[in-house]
Amino acid sequence: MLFRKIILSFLFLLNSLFAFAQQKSSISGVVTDSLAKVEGVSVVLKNTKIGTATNEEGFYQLLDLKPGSYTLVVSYLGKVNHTKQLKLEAGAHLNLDFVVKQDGQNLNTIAVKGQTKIVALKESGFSVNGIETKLFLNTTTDLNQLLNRSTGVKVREQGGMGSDFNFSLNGLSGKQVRFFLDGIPMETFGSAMGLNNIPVNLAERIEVYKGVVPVELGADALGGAVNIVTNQNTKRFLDASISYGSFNSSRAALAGRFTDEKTGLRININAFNNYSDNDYLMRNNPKYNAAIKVTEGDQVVLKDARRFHSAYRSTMGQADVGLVDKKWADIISLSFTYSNLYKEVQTGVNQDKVYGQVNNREQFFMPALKYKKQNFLVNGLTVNATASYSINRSNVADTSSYLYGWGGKGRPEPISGEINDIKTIYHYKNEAAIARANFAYELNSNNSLNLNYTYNYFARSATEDLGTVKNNSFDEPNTIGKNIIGIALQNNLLGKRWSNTLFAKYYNFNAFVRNAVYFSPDNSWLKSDSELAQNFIGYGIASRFKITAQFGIKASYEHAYRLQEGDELFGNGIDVASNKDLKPESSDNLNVGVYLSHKINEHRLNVEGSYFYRNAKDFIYFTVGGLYSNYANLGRAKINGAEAEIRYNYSDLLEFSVNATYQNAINNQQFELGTGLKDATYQDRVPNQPWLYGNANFSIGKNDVFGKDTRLQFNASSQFVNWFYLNWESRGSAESRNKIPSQLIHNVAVSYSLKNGKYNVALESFNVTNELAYDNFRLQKPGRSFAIKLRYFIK
Amino acid sequence: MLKTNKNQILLVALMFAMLGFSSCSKKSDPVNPPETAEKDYSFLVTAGTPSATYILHAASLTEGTATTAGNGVETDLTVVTAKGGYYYATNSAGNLVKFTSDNKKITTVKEIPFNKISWAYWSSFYIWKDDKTLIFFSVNGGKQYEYATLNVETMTFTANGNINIPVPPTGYYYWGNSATFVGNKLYISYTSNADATDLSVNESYLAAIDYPAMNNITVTKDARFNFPSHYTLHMPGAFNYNGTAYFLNSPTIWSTAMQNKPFAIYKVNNGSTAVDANYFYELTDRTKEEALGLFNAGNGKAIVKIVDKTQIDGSSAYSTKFITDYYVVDVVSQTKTKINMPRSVAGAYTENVIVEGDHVYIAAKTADGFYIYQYSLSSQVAKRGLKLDGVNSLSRFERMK
Repeated sequence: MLFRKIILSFLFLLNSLFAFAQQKSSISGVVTDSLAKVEGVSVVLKNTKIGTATNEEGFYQLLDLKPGSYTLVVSYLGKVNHTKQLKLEAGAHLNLDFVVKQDGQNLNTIAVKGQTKIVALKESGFSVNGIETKLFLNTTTDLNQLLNRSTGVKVREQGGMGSDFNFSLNGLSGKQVRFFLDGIPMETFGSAMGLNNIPVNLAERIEVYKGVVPVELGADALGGAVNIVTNQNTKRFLDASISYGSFNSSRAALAGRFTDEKTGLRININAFNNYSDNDYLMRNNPKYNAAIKVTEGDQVVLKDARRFHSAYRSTMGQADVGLVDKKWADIISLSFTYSNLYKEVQTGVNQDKVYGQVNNREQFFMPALKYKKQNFLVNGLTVNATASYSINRSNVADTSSYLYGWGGKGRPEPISGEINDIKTIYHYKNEAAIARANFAYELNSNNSLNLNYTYNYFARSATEDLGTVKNNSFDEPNTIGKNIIGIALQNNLLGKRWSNTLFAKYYNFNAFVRNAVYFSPDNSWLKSDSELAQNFIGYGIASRFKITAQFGIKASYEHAYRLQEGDELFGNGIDVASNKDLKPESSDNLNVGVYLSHKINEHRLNVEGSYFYRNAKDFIYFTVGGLYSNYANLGRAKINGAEAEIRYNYSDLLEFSVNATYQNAINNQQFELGTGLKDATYQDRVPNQPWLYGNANFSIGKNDVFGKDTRLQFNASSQFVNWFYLNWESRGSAESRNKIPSQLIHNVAVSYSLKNGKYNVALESFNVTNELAYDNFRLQKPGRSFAIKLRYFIK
Repeated sequence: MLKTNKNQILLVALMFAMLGFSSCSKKSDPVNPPETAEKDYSFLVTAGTPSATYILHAASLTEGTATTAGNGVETDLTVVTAKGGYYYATNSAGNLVKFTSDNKKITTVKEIPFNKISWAYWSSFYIWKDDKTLIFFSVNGGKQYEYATLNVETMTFTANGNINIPVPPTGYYYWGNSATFVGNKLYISYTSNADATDLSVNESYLAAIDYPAMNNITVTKDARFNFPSHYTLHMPGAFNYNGTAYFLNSPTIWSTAMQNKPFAIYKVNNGSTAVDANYFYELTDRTKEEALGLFNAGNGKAIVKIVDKTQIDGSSAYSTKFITDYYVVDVVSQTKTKINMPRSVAGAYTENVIVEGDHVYIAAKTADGFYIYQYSLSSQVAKRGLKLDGVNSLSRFERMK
């Protein structure tokens, strides 16, 4: 098989390179402070151009060194911490660890420290948003809200806490964007572990890769990928918080770590519990065709109504036990994650359809094994491997004996369910196994190789309790297995001013579906077990050129895929038929950008801007048939867009940022499916998609206002989304075209910290002007809400 | 089970609207259409990929262009039927809406709760008893027949309840209803599918019911037929002529996996409660062609779509391939005449034919585009007329004024 050949070639290449690398001298080590490994520490050889900075593991290495005498200078936050004279023999490897000193833990230092990784992301060739969570740790923000404030990202939520959402990145969305938690694909995690649940306190930063995705995140990500990175380096800390607010909403989060220096034993604990009644007022809004219709006797009355079946709870607990800093492993750990969800379903595809009893309960369990080692077998080779197995059970009960509307309980209904035409209690079971191995090899200070392999197995089965549904295609699992291999070569030129990453990705999948329906040549519908395997190759490049130390340009390109899923290829055996000719969605993605950082005394200015282009085809749409429907490659879109962000800081007093994104997504489907007839909406703007949006954030804070080691902080943020059409802009009369109205939402928060951030209290208001907001047509979001949050943090 | 998901699928269908979903069983009298000074025809169409739905209007069917470009009303209403210048539709709240429209906007006359019956697209149908009386029918969960009678002038329900056709045995559900009135006798022809396989029991049933009491129910079966046209009863599959009810058996690939039965017309004679065992008019070679739709053309004639079965390779063939011819079928003399017009897309269950006296108007998507073809029943000549521009598919076509 092709991917075996790729692995063999890579191993052969590595072997040759090891032999080459062994003859050079090198220095490596780990930099820590009194508590944790420190990232962004500068390590340079004085009077040479040789130098580097520690990575997030506090690790540095200087490779490809000539024998001789050197002075090694270690500095952090602009201050020299250590200088060391040393002599290097030919072929020798020196291991030098350092401990740096820091000035306490005030918030400013933490923020600056966090920015080092963000700067590294910004200065990579990829188009990437690095979002630091540290400034938001005292707020009740979840990861979706944080992501929604960054350029190119639009999260469209259907309602309040725990509601379904659609994540779009530079105009591509849904399954076209993949999500990772510390590099592990999240799509099988179940909804309790979604971005709309994970509290900000559990993440250190979020990386949003747009259109072009590094091979380390092994997935078929057509439009980009989001990687949530948790804190890995602090040796001991505890972060506990609880909040309470409008709609009986509460959020509790706990994150902690204990590391025993002597034995290397490390224990991580993460947990959260979110609850909300989500009983916000649904406001009658006929102007935007979003009336609230209440049945009163034989009349339909338009008036406001309160949500009554929208409660949501999600609970997660994770324990991770492992060993660190062993000769054979930097980290080896075993973790267990359990999550549990209860969700009441209030509405159907829009707020007109009201449910009163349907609910969903989910339980998710995942053991996972992690292993990481730098200088694995040879100097410069880092291996990072994870393996996990997960099981997600979902129970959907649709057994109401009544129909519901905004007026509450309606007429009795003895036969039908609320969602299905027959009352049902479905039990779905999703099993997933994921194995990932990443090999990063630094050939010398200017060249590195990365090989990533991801295996992803997914099986879905279902049972039904009431016995009314006898034709259940999921009684035996449908499965899909994916192998994704990525290989990347990173090369620096012109004294590291020009950096290039060339990569290729190999995708292989094997899908198996029970009793798939297909059309036979003898003019009849037949059912049989169906299996299909396919391979695809993607490729790309990311490049960055530093014009000055603070000003650079970058460009990246990828030919990307979103593979077909089992049910898209083979249907469900009930009413969706096979389409073995279905192709994967594919896209050519291009980004061109600039960045600038400028610092004068305490003033810091950061500017980023980029242009993006996507040429996507073979969108997989559900096409309705008679007895059997199917999936078909129907849509094509060309997207041109631009985004920019300006951020200004003054010392630790003031921060102001503003960003905007514009995208022009054009329907590129020239002909109607299967005919030579021109599609009337060819070259029209793709409907039902925000195309102009922006954010502004302002924060001002001062230390030691009411006593030593305190900080008072005020944050305000605003989000704007321009109105957009629900359907095609060229079709239909202007009077009848439905619009999703513009929204301008303001949020404010005030927080007060004592004892250098050990005790924190915050008061917040979301949507403080009580704007009537819709992300989706006829799906109203919550109005104004308030919350108070208490947080305890020690490190 | 098919029906479990069918409702959602069909709701999606409204958004995609690749093919048709609504019609009336009994149009205004085709022989003597009312003449008004200004005519108004309407088209319920879709445009774009993914599609959106629009209502277009035109004053003439014989010339000009009706376009969706900046014209027509974007709507998400699901039109059930239209009569006397008004549309009757369900909306996403599940309410029933009476409205009018022009090329710019919709004007709602009345919106009422539609909770007297379990309306679901796969199992529901309707009949106009007269110009004022619209009767909705449904088979709740595929088991229990129900009805609700609407006075369209007052928009109030005057009667509703169950129709006591015996419920199917456990493991089966009713499907494929086709219905018509002969006087005050209501005939419903239907079949039964197995829950486990969605396959028909390969026989058809006829329920004869007294209106308005909805009692005195007689159920008979006929094993010659297995799928009374049609899929959701939103294209006519039955009509009455001279007191005799005519039905079409139409086991299309689109609608059933059981295709070993004929595309044939059967009838129920005046006053009878069972299908006439001596009448059997097979319209075409069941292995080569399919017949669907029975559009009443008056004088014992009907317009039928005949689809080249050899070209069908799945559901999408009905919306993408130009494989459909139209015929005038005489159910009395048992003869058929082909209408001389280009082959067009089948559009499966679409209400795309209207008859005004001698003239038959057919909305046809051909390789040259979407046009209205005008056919004279007397001279047997077909002419191309109005062009429908910027239209992917059509699900309804009717005269409003």
